[in-house]
Amino acid sequence: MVEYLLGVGILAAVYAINALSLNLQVGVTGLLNFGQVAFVGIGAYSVAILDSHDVPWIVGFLVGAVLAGAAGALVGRLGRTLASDYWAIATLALAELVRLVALNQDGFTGGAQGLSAVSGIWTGMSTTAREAATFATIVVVLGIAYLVARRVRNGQYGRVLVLIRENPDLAASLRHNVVSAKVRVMALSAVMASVCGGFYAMYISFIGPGQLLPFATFLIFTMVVVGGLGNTTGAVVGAVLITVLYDGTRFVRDWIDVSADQAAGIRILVIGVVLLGFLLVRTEGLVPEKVKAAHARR
Amino acid sequence: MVEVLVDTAVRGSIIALLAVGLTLIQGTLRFANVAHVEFATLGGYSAVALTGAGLGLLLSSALGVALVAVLAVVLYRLLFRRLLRSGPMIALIGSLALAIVIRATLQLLYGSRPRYLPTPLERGIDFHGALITPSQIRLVCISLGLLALLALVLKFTSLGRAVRAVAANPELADVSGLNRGRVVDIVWMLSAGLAAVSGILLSIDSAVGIELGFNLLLPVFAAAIVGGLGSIAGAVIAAYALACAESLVLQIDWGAIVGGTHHLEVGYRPAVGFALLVVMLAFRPQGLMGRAVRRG
Repeated sequence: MVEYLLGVGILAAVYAINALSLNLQVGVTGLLNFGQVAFVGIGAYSVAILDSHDVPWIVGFLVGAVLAGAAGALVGRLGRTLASDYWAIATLALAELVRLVALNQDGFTGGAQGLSAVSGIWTGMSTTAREAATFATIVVVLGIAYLVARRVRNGQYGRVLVLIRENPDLAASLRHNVVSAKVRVMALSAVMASVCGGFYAMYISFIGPGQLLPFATFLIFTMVVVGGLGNTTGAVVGAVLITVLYDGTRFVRDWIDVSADQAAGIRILVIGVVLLGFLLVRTEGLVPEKVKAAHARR
Repeated sequence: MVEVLVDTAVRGSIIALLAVGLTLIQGTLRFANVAHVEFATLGGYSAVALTGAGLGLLLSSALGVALVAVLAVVLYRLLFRRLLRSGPMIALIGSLALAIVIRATLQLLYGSRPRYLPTPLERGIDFHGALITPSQIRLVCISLGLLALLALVLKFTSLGRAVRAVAANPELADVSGLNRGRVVDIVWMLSAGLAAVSGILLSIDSAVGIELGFNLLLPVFAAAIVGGLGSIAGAVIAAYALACAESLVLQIDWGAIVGGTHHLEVGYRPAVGFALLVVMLAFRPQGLMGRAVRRG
């Protein structure tokens, strides 16, 4: 039981980092990134591929962060010429491209089977102690990610990002460099997502193209919307709640008699209905964003 | 090479029927409906359900299209109108959520294995070295016929004029006494109906699975964007051009460049649309036949 709870805790923390990253893009800056899972995948595959060549994990994380950051910056630049809704579709396409490469470059990524036997963390310990140590580690990482995200959101840069979301023309006319601000927030978020992906691959010691499906991004969107778009604390709250809900519905077959296929449908349906419900009834989420007046503190 | 032609005609027709509807909705509501391709999946499954209830294929298809068209208006009234009030970003996330809900519901009802429509087995006709089935010929003819009909309706009827007026300037259409709500309802019915036709044609040609629509999402959006947002003719041309590019990329022997014989994996087919999209955005962001793209 303790191990199960620790497992859910670890998963929630991993998702929370992912949600913090997506919230910086969607919630704060208004950049609808439907391809978030691509950054996670870049991080996860970097760690897994380098690990299979016996390179230390820290190098995998660094390579993943650099690659994801570069990809994020490029996607951010693409946002320069594209209306925001079509940019969203372009990001979805990019994520599918990453998945196709992972699926088809067998020699490199293990193809459809993915890469298994990725070295874990704290391998020298007994099972429960290992789970506890892993949980402690990811909570520390989450803490750092939270502080970074909050600092970005509440600082001068965060105010520029919110202005870009609310009124890009005004931001440009105030001589803020809109493109550069977008590129930087995309790069930062991508690095956060890649760390989350690398950690995930090490924790479950596996990564495959099945984990890069668009539904993975959709799950994170649900967390951010339920928590409250634009609110840093909300992203974490939403991530914990949705992880518990999504992981809890794994046991749906214990309650009702359905096939495995139908059970998978039910799990996805629950998440979709929660997201639609929040968008329709409580768009601002559980912890609404507080936009301060410009001169509130002085 | 004839193979490429046949392939282009079939796949281009499917994409065109969907891209035209997407571009119509975008034109009238200024909103990208990610759930649009799910209307194709719904069309396929409603035909499966109705033929399963003992109706003939033709009657089932017609009823299926009508059902999807009505459902689309209901969804617009109950869901999208409300989402759109919270802004285009919320509406876009909402349409993604709806797409997921539709797919999950179908998976719950029908499972994720593909379903087949009760069509007689057909012998392929040898057409200058390429095989084409009678149902594929029908698919292309029906698509082209419907696209031509749509063009005529938009060009010459008062309804078409109203649709074009709302697309060009919603506020102006309002003040000149057009019933915008009614026009939007009809646009939803038309575009969802065309999507359902495309889904049914595709299910007859191969099979219908829950991923039918989603697998078409990227090529359809690529065609609509490359064609120029809101341009019907552009979307159709782009759809066939895209299908042709996809087919060519898979046929060409890249060995001449990289050495040996090297064909691209079929799995990369969806990547072609994306590449075309990026090239287009870099060199002609307003699309083939579009006005300047809205930025923001």
